[in-house]
Amino acid sequence: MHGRLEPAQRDQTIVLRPRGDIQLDEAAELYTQLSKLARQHAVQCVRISFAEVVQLDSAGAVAAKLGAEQLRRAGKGCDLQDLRPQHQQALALVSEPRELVKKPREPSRAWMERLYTKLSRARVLIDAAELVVDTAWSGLRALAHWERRRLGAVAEHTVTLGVDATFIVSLLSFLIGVILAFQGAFQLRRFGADVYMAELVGLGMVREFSAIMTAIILAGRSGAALAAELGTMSVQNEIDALETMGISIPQYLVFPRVLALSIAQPFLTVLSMAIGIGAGIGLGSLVGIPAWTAFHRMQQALVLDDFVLGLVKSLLFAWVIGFVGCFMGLATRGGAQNVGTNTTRAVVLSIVLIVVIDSIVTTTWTLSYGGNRS
Amino acid sequence: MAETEAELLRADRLVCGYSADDPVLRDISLHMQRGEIVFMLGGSGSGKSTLLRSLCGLLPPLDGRVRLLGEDLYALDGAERRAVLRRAGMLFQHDALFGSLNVLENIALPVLELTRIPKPVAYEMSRAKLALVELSPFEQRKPSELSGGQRKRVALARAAVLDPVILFCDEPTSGLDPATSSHIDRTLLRMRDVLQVAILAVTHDVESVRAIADRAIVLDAGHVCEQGPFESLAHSEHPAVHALLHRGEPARAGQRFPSA
Repeated sequence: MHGRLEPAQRDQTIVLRPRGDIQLDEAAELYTQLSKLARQHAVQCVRISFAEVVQLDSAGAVAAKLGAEQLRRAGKGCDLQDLRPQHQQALALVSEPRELVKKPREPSRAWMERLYTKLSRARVLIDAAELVVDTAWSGLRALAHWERRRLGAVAEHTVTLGVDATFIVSLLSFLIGVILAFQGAFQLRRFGADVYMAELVGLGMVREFSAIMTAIILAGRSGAALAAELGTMSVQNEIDALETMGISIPQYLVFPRVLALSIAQPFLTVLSMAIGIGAGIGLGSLVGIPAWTAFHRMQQALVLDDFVLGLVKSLLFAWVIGFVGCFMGLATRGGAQNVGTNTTRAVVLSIVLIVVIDSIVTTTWTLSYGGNRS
Repeated sequence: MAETEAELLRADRLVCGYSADDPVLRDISLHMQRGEIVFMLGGSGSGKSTLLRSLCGLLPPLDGRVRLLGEDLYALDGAERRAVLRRAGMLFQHDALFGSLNVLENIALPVLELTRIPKPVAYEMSRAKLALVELSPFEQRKPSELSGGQRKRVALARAAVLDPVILFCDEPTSGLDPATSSHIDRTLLRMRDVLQVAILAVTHDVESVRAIADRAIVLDAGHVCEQGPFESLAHSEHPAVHALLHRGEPARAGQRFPSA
């Protein structure tokens, strides 16, 4: 059989006589065997005879050398014997084993590195703010010297980032409308107030759910797409190429995308409002609230302010999704793995920011205007 | 065992390409011995990269056979084919290093994924190969922190980490300056001398062929139009060979082959 390793015991000296080739798999076996011997107290010395070894590849040579080193560290002797020129040559390729364990890092350096990491995190906020300001500035300039040829890019992004999400936004808004109406009608019926379901659905969709649902869908769909696209461009040096050409990144890449989202998102939100309300009215008529009554109540309950609140929020969310997606994409360094990491970060951060901004806007708006409702 | 045969690689009447109606290569036969350095030369579109892909198991030929280590490569089933291909290394044109891993991890990857070799042995094997390409100080760097020539050499170390018997190289010196190119050439030569690995490289770098090739095969329009040692190519009358070796300069009487 070839490559078998046969240990033969003689006092406390072990003699190994491997036969045949010591290549990849046999090398693994040799190393495991030498490591085991290094841990055995009874063993004093290990001799490996290469007399019957035909081929010794670099895996075999490394296994023999590292194994011998382990034995020596354990205070045992190890001899490699009967080496042929070919074996010597293979062993010569392997450098003398260095420290097998990693050196612990110097504490002072670790401390400095931690400080540096903290500082560079703060630096991220500055970078992000810079991107927003640069984009807003270049956006204003672009609007001032509007060029028709830029319209194409904006239209394209509006379609891919926004219009293409119409179906999924419609479907989810329909379901949210149905759920709201269903829960509202059934819970309020206990108090004989099921007809107020109309207000619940109308106000709920217009003031809250349409804006936030649309934003979360777009963050997961378009925000991720933005981060992945710009991230890939970044790791493939395309961003560097644009910069060396003197092309402004905020103006060329960020502004059209943010503008496209700012156009698409309010439209999708309005669509979501309409579909959610429609679904609510439809479900209401199934559970005994006439459609006309529900519609009439909604008409009376909803004022312009409610729509303005929903639309203002949708615009803020569009900016969050656009800027976070672009920033995370542009901040990607390294390789393919980091594109994935930063895309995930973009989606998580967008959704967190959307909910935080939503709660801030809703509370301040309601406290300052909501009290005037007749 | 098949490995004891002197002949390492043999292609018989190979037809390669992406559609049977319009093959890129027709009727290619070639063979390689152990430890031989063979360069395939050809202009863009001559089919040299396609041939390399077929020879190294990436692109099944439309007709003909590829025998690697005596085994008919495309007649083997998946596991057997992988076992044969484990004895071959491939250097890609765009190094194909993994950006998220450092240099040492990149080199050790095939060892850890394809064998049962424990990590310390795998890393020490990688260090040995890294020393062979003279990049030992860079083992903790990421590929993005290396120069083009250094990345090529790391890729070469990765291709050679399992002690292949044959190394396929796609344009080993493309996009590199002459000094770096000649460094790569010397690295290839050292790998052959130290590891006894045969090298089959595709290139249009005539200087590399002159410097290290035992033999060159010139492809033109899907055919082998000339083969032999560099000196014999230099005297070839074939227009494609002439164009490659002399940058398409028209032959002038008395000065047809400027001194090398």
